[in-house]
Formats: sequence, structure tokens, C-alpha cells
Amino acid sequence: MKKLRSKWGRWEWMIGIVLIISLYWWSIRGIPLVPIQKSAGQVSASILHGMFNPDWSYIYNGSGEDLVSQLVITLAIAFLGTFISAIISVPFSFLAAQTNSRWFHPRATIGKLLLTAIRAFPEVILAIMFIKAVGPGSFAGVLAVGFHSVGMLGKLFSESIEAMDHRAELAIKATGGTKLQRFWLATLPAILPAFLSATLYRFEISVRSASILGIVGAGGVGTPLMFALQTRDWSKTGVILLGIVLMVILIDGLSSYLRRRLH
Amino acid sequence: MTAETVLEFQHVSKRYRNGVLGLDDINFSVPKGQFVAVVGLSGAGKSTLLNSVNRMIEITNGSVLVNGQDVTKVRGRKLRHMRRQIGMIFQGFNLVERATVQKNVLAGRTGYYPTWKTLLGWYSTQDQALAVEQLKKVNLVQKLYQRADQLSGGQKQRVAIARTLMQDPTLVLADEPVASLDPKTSTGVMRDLYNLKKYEKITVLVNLHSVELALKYADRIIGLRDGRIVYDRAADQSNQAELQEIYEHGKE
Repeated sequence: MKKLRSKWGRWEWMIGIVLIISLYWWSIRGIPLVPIQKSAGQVSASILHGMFNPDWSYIYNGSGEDLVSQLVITLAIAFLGTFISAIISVPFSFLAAQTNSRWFHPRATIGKLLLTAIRAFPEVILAIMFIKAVGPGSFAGVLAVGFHSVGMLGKLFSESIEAMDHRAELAIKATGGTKLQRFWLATLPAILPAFLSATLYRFEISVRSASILGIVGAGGVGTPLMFALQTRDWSKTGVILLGIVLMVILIDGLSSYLRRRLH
Repeated sequence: MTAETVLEFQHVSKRYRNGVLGLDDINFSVPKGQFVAVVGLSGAGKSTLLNSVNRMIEITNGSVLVNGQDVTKVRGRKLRHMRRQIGMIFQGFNLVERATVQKNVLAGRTGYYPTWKTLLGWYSTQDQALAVEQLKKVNLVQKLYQRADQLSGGQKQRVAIARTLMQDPTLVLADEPVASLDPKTSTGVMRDLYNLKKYEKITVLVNLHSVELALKYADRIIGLRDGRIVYDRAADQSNQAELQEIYEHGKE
């Protein structure tokens, strides 16, 4: 019986491989041939040249339109957005936390659905919507980051609530503590480090997405990046990208250092 | 017996939501200062019995009297005041792992403080001195400012005992206090529990797996099987063979 099944298993394998190969063959045949433009080599060379010869004078010139100022604005958007969403996420996370293992749990289901709905809106779409509401600029960026982060932070927070150790709570209950005393003395110390860690992690992601939001006009370093790309100012593009990479590396390093210290 | 009764079970039954009878017509009373060990198989109802005393679990029928007051009748503030005179020791120590030993011990005083004072972290100087005193009793005063998660299992359980002492309890319930400790540490913790009775005149009700520990420390041994009391005798009149009987004929 066992031998028979393994024989059939080999056949399954072969059929699978044949199917995959024929699928590839069929789809590759359907690709229209696009001729590469004659100037392609030249354009690529000039982009590369610009990238590796950054426009250093753009880094700082005191006008407030320079790279450092724009990066600071980007950081500020990410920071404020994450900070706001961390506060809003707390009630959402308690709503979405499934605190028993019963199949029917309307409160948690509603909470989880809400968070998923919030998460489903990409930041760029939110930024465009908020620009229509409050006008272009950093404030729209803050709102987009803040709104979108609630979806992720609320989920991460609620998961840490679900995974928390309830034993200390029981002990405080047994000493005659009120619900609020239980929450303050036992629940909070158990979940706060996880909340802070998730918030820092979200901050890393927010910094990256805040760099992009400027492309649609929501403030930050994305706006000069878009202008530089549209005017084919490759050396300016190069220095902006370099600045973003440096900022992201620094923030990631700082955030993971802080998160390690939280334990 | 002339001594006053601290704990009394009157026809106590507990039926779980799934229909299982956890406790079946339990009747017994414990005089002040007695050290009672409750033994039996897992699932015999030991934990249910203990947890019904301070209403961590609600019973279905009967009444439990602590110092003459029916705990099944009280609610709200009265229930909390009832709980604060009953100490509880858990198998898993149940400390706030990220807080210092001092904070954990002071938490035993929670029932005596209004909520707003707890939120501000205001403990009286008296209570802070008391916390040091209680830690001295369990030989852990040198750990006062250490975080609880840095302690060993035995040390954690002794911090839990100090926390319970802060409540100034008349009765201490200990639910498998040494089940997650090695034999040597177990002896130390059992001695600390025994000292509650010896020096503080506190009544102690302790669930134990080990018949040896029960015989060594308890004044009286109660045996549970399938939610019923099948054995109740002074420890010095008990012997190992009779006690082993409790563990047999149990429902699988």
C-alpha cells in the first residue's frame, strides 16, 4: 500500500513539472517583442553618471528647500504620524483582542474587520484623499501615515494582548484589587514593552513610506525627488536617494537598538 | 474544638458549564491556625476547592464561610475586602515579572488602597517599611530592588509569600505552591509556608501533589477524589499506605 502511494507520488511530481514547463512556454510565447531604443545605452549611462556624481551643493543651502531640511520634514511626518496612530491604536487593539478561544467572539471579530479595512487603504491613496481634504503639504502626509499605521499597530497591539500572561492579574485580583488596579499594576507592565517595540518598528516603516508620500504632494523628501526625476536632474536624484538611504539605515539601527533595550 | 473557626464549607457543589461536577457536597471546617493539606489526583477538584474560597471561581450550591461571613453573598467592595484578608499563593508564582521585588511585595497591599493612589504609585512609608520586614521573613531582603524576572523559581515563590503577608491575612490558600520547583527548593518554600502558621498564627490551606510533604508539614490532611472528600484525618494519625488509597480507584 505504502509502496503504491509513493509510486503515484512520483507520477504526481512529473505531471506537475510538465504542467509548469508548458505554462511557462505558453506565457513566454505571448510576450510582444519590444525593441530596445537606440538611445537606451546613452540614457542609462547618464543616469549612472549622475547617480555616482551627486550634487553635493544641494545637501544644505539654508533655503529650507535643501536635502537636510526635507529629510527632517520627512522624519517629522513619520514621527508625528506614528505617535498619533499609536495612541489611536490602543482602544482599537483592546476591541480586536480575542480574549477567549471560543469560536463566536463578535467584539473581536468587529475589531479585526475594522483594522483590516483600515489597513486595506494604501498610504499613497490616503495621502491623495487627505490632500483633497486639507490641501497639499506635510499635514496631509501626517494624516495618511497616522491613519494607515492604525491598521498595522492595532493588529500588532491586539496580538500582544492576546499573547499576554494573565497570571499576575489573578494575583492582584486575589489581593482585593479593583479592575483598574489590576490593569495598572499587572496588565500594563506586561503589554507596554510589546506596544513600544511595535511602535518603534512601525516608525521604521513610516520613515520609508513618508519618503514616498511627497511624490503625490504630501510633503517631505519625495517632492524634490519627483521634481529631480522629471527634470532629469540625475545628480540631484543621486544625492536625494543617498540621503534617504542614509536616513533609513540610521533610523533602522537606532530603532532596533532601542527595541533590544526594551526587554 | 474550642478554637474559633476560620473557614467552613457547607454543602458546597460546583458544576462546570460542560456539566462536569467539580465539587460534590463538600463539608468541612478549619479552626484558626491549622495547617491543612489537600491531596488528590489532578482533576479531583483541589484547585476548584481552593479557588472557591476567595471567589476566583463561583460555586453552584452551598456556602463558604470565612471568619463567619458567607463569601458567596458579598459583592463589589465587600468582596474585595473579603479577598484582601485571604492570601493566595499560586503554582506559577504570578508575580509582575518586569517589576521590582519591592513593587511586587507592595502590590499585596493593593486592597487597602483607593484606586487613585495605586495609579499614582503612592504607598505609605509604613507600608514600604513593612515590605522590607516581610522580605526579611523569607530571607530575600537583599533582592529588594531586583526585577522579579531575575529571580529563581524558589525565590519568586518566597516573594509571593511576602506579598501575601502584606495583606495581613487570616487565611492563606496555596495552590500547588511547589509543583514547579525542585525537591530541595520545595522544602524551603514549604518551611516558609509552615512559618506562616507557626509565627503569624495564619490558617493555611494548601493543595499538594506530594503525600510526603503533606505528612511532613500539615496538621491535617484532606483527601479529595472526584470532587468528594474521601479522607480527613490529623496528619499524625495518617500513614502513607492509607493516603495512597486516595490516589486509587479514581476515574480515569
